[in-house]
Amino acid sequence: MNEGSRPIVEMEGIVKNFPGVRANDQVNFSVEEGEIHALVGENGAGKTTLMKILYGIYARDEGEIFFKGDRVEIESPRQAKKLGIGMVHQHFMLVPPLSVAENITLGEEFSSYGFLRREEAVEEIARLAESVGFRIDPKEKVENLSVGSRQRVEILKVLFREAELLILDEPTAVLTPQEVEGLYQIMEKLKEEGKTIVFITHKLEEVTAIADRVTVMRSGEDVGTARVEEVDKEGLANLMVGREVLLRVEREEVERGEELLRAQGLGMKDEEGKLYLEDVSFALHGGEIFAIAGVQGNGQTELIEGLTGIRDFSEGEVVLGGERATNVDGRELRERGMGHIPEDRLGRGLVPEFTVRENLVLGYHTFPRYASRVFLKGETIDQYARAAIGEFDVRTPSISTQAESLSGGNQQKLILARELAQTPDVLIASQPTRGVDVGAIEFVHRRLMEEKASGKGILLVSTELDEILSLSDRIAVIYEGRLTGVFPAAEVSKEELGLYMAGSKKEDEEIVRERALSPSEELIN
Amino acid sequence: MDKNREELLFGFLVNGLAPLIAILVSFGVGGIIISFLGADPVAFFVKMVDLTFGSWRGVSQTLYRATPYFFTAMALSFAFKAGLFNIGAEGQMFIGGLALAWVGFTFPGLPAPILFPLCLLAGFLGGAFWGAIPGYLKVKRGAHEVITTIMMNFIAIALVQYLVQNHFTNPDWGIPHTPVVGKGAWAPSLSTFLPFFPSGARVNVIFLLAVFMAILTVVLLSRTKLGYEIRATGLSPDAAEYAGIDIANRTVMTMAISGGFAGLATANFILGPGSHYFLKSEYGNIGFSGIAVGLLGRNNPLGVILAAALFGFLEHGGLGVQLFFPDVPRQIVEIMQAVVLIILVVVLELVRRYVSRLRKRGST
Repeated sequence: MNEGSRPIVEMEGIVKNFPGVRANDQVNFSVEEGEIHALVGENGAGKTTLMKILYGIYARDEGEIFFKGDRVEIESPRQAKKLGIGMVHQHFMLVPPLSVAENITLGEEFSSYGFLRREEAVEEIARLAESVGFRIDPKEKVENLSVGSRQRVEILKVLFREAELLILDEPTAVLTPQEVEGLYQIMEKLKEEGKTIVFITHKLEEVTAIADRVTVMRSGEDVGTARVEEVDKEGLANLMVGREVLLRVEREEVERGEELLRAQGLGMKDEEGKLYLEDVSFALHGGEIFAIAGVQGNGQTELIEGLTGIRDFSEGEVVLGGERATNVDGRELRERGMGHIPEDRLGRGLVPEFTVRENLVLGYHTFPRYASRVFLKGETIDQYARAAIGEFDVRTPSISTQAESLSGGNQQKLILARELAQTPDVLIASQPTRGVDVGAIEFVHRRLMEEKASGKGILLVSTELDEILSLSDRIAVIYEGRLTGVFPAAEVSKEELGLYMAGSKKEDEEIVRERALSPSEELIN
Repeated sequence: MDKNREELLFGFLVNGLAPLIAILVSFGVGGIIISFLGADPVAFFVKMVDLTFGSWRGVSQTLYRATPYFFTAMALSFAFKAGLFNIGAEGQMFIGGLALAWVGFTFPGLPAPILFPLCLLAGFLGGAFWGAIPGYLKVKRGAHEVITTIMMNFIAIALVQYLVQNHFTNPDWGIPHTPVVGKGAWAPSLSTFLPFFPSGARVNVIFLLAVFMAILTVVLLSRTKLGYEIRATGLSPDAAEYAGIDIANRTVMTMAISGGFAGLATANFILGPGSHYFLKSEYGNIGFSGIAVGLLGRNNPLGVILAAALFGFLEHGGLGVQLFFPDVPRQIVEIMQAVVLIILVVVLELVRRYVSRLRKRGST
């Protein structure tokens, strides 16, 4: 504002109460025309609530909204759209069997006398897409599109309705790193076109990468707005959490223990003969974090599901604690000391409708500790659950609350609590911090480091290179189902890993296998 | 804390209020039709209540009528807990019923403490076997249980008809039925222990079995490993798989237990005071009506008892009230049963939408 650019939206003194919580408390928020404005804060800080008020989904209790200087009442999304405000939700609202053009024009179809004019719609959408530099076929069915492309369809939907202000609710949460790059370009392009963008995020690198200004929210209040050049990541993180946050956990050097998990020549094919994994070998030792980096969809999911007893390998052997563990079911693996933090938190890691206490024994409910031959040991489980939510700082009203009503960060801490409470020797952690906020990320990282220090072996799979580089001792890159490189974390750069992840670099198979199977000390020498 | 209270309130609205509204509306619709037929609806319903709950004899008859519905409704509700739709209670009921009767008339000389439980076990296992087949087909072949259970109904009906006509017929009179079960299998009337029931009251020990099984089911689902696994499988198969639960095994087992419930539905007629033989035509549609009762009871064992009692009330009250209101055809009861179900589906959806809108406006 100080540079004289005109605010497109001003929200003043916004208050929104939900039963028992004040989601927004006297929030002031102003967006300048033509800027990219990041709205950051931890989960539950009130970012989405504020934007839903602006978009007319929620009614505010107090405060005023000005759009281009005029005081406005926005009582429904319809009114918001009329003003030129569009919102892309975190969960896409598309009809998969319909085409791109049909989805975009849904509700505002091109028609005459009740008949659709498809060709015209297709042309119009193609023109619109081109104007913002999207490559997308308007006739393609949405169900055939990647997540990144679906997001573009959502953005086009908003543009088609002539929005000037676009609200993107955590747009990167569902995207791969490559797709995130693509989204940045789109946002830049839209800015050039004179659009204004508010995007909600809790990833700080995104703020510094793309935003012009940033507003930080914490527990329902706005704690400050600044130009991005004027702030650094640490400062933002501290503002968001309200205390000092360590963005990087110190990597501790721990003496390598014995070999805990060994994969030898693992392969996986499905019934049609599609190859997911080929000749994957590695060894995990006590006191180390071995990471597998790769772009989503290169076989890491299958590898983890194979190792944890969800799928079967078609070739190769798994050895856990010196004994064969190939294609053994999850129950036996748990009994033999393998913990698993799955990548799909709500889909696999939790039964969303189960209570916190029920979820805390998921997979361990047959252990003699928690159950007799027939009955679950209710009181023991209660005690354990209370202790676990205390130790792992799971914020929940009670142990009888349903897991689905917790925030993402707390759900993740719940899973972490469950898997670590059983003191496994081997922990397989897949995307352990995806979609959780800064405070929770720090917590998860710290706990993983502690586990390593106590002599556990951790297999870490992540698409976040920063996470991999800061936590792990050795890093393997997986590309199209094969390990294409193995490096000591201290000796490899992000850029180098990126080249392997993209498949443009590859090491010799023999070298990869040898390095993957030997503990890192020998490697450094 | 608020969230929990809200959760409870939401549960109460959906599970308690919706069925209540549905029942009231169905009485309203029934009342309108009755008044068109020239009768006084208030007097009609008052008479129905009087006939059913106005005397211990009426209560006895109502509970007697309600008992089979409980079992077929539990078949639906139990499977539902594991995310399965068992539409095959009708068939499972026939197979279980014939197995039960077969044990009863094949070993008539066995003493009561052996024969009675043996008959019940046979009924349960017969239904369980018939229910397990669709479970197995689903697990092995991916055949959807709705389709297979419906198909299995037809097979069961034809099979039972064939067996009763050709192999187990008691040739004493017209409609084919099985021989009479041994005296040891007869379920005592509740009047034996509860003197306020008039002597020879038809409500019998099988009703107590129903109540007992409802409680057992609540305990099974909430307190045992098996119940935990069944619910996890139903709510999130992916999470169950992650937890190392043998989903295939649990699916077959759930369908078997579900079928076992249905297999006991005819015990009330065959073992209770009455004919003491298997007569197929007497049990028609109890399996299908169980679907309605299960839905009305919101798949909660205790709710299912109440819903079954309502159906018992409609059936017994409907039969008796005809004598007093000759202008009103007995089909009025069937109309009301149907209306309850249709309205319930609508009201449930309305309540759910209303509450979720309240929550949306009111909370995150």
